[in-house]
Amino acid sequence: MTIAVEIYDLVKFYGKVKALDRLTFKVNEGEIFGLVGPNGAGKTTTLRIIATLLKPSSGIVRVFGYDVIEKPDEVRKLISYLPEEAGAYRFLTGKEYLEFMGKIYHIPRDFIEEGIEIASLGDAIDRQIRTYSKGMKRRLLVARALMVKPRLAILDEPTSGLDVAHALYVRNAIRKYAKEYSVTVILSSHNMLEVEYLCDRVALINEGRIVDIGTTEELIKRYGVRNLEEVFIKAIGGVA
Amino acid sequence: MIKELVIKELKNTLRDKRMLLSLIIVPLLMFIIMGGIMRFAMTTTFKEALEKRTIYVVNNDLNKYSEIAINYIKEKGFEVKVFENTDAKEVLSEVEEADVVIEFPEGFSYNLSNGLKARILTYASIKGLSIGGYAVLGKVSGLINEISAYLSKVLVKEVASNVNPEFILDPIASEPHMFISGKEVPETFIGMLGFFSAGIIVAPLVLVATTIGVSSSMIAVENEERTLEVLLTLPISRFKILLSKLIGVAILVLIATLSFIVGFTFYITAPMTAFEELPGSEGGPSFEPSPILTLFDIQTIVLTGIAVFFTLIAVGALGLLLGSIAPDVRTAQTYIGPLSFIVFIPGMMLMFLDLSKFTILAQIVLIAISPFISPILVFKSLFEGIPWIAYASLTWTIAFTLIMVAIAAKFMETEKILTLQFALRMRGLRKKAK
Repeated sequence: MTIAVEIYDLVKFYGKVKALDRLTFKVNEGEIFGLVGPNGAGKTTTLRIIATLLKPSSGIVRVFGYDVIEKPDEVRKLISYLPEEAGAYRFLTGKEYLEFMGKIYHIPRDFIEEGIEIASLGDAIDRQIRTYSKGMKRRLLVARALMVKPRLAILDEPTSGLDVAHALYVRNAIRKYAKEYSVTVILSSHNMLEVEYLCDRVALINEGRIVDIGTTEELIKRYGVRNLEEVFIKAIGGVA
Repeated sequence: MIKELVIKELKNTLRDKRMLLSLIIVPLLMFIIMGGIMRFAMTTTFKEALEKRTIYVVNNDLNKYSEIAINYIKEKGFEVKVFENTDAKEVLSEVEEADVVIEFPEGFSYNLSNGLKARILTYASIKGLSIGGYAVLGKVSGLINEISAYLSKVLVKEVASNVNPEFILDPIASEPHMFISGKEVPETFIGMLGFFSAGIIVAPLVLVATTIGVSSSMIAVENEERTLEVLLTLPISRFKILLSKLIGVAILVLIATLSFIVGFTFYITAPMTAFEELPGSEGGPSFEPSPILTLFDIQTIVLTGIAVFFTLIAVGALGLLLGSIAPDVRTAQTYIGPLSFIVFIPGMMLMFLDLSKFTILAQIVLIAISPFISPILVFKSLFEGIPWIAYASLTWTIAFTLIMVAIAAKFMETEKILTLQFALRMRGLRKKAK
């Protein structure tokens, strides 16, 4: 089995603050891998390092064998990154935005049409993005991340800001693309239902360290609880 | 790939009404409206002054030469209302439409007959502070000069009927020749030289200020709209991202410059052409740019062009750097504020002083800061015959440009572009806590 993401002893400092503390895990190709943890646990920092935006203080991070420090340009050809609070160019229309991204990734026209379908914005796809609601913008960005059919999609809170129906729609799209096109997905989420539904394996992360890792079933069994939410509370602890 | 990025930059910038307004519409409309207003105001006030003006004359002399002068005014096409043996100030205050009154005082003709200087008094009442009011007084002064010249001719004719009074009064024909660095300035252009010097300084300053403003906004807007993170993870080299931004800046600045030139040309020509339409006027100066070109050699034009190119790239890269550390466009604009001192203070000094008036030390300081004012310095030094300043400035500007582009490219490569604002915010919070 090909390893999509390998992380060994990853440490990241912001000044004197240690954000990641000897983080180690692997993601297999074609897998949907979830990073779950409280705010400030280090999820976004981990995803940003994999996406070549931040450099590790120490440790090794490889994407399909390419080191993110030594070969960032090669890594960027394989990934598609969706930040948690991403925006899109306000004065482009939704369609122009997807077409622009399509040209950057050199994808065929039918991939862009698929992107338009995933975004499910109807006639609004021809309107400027500045007129979109938060949810519409998020759907467009998810569509952008998936339509390029990357080998690795890095999705930070993909359904953040979406209502129940649209969140379900996006979750289905992620699952469909991952399975149909063998896209490996690494995502972070606060929504345990979403993680349970989407992820093949889950890593629980707290204070920059991996607390536990496994399939949802394994974790539920290991902690002797009914669902992932209870696993989270038991492994990491609730709010004091 | 760069083409797509540049198109995206242009679309996203030019569709922004704020940018469209500051880059194109304001420079174009501002000058066109200002020029139009000045043209309208000057045409109407001077037309009124010359066409419809009634000249109010108080004749307290009632003798030969005052009568000759009044007839002369009538021959000029003015309507003349004459008051005799009256106080001119009373006429001014009592006749509502009389805003200027000319008085020939008692003894006017006696003085002229006896070889003594005679006086003509003018009284003006200005109702507002418009330029028109002063212009009317100016035109009346001009009329009095004409009366004086006419009476001189009459007196010369009376004293020596065989002599041509034109020759006695104006025996010398003036032919001005002006040289700048050995090149003769066309005669029609001499009067315009000061105006042109100001323009040659102001235009590059505006260009530099616009470039810094546009370029700093280009990255700052990516921060503000939270598009930077995605942009930096796309399969494009960071250098190409920088290059596309610089090309975008260059195109936008070019558009802004064209808009500025169109507006500015209208502005400077509109008030002048207003004179040409005036009746009874010999016409004011008209703007003829073509002779200007004969003053410059090809070397001056080429080197100034190179200086413009490198200066814009340098300040563009600097603007992008400043924009990257700003969380939004407004903050970026505050960062570039202090830079205007480096640009405008030496720029204004160069407007009023020749380079030869600067000490060697001051010249070196000017060269040191020349990446911001290189087009002005290169042009002026070549024009004034001090070429070493042009070469030194150009060399330093090219070096500075390469350094700025390298720094900007390096900065784009590092994670600082994302983490610097975080670090600055943390530092601010720590300071506050202390």
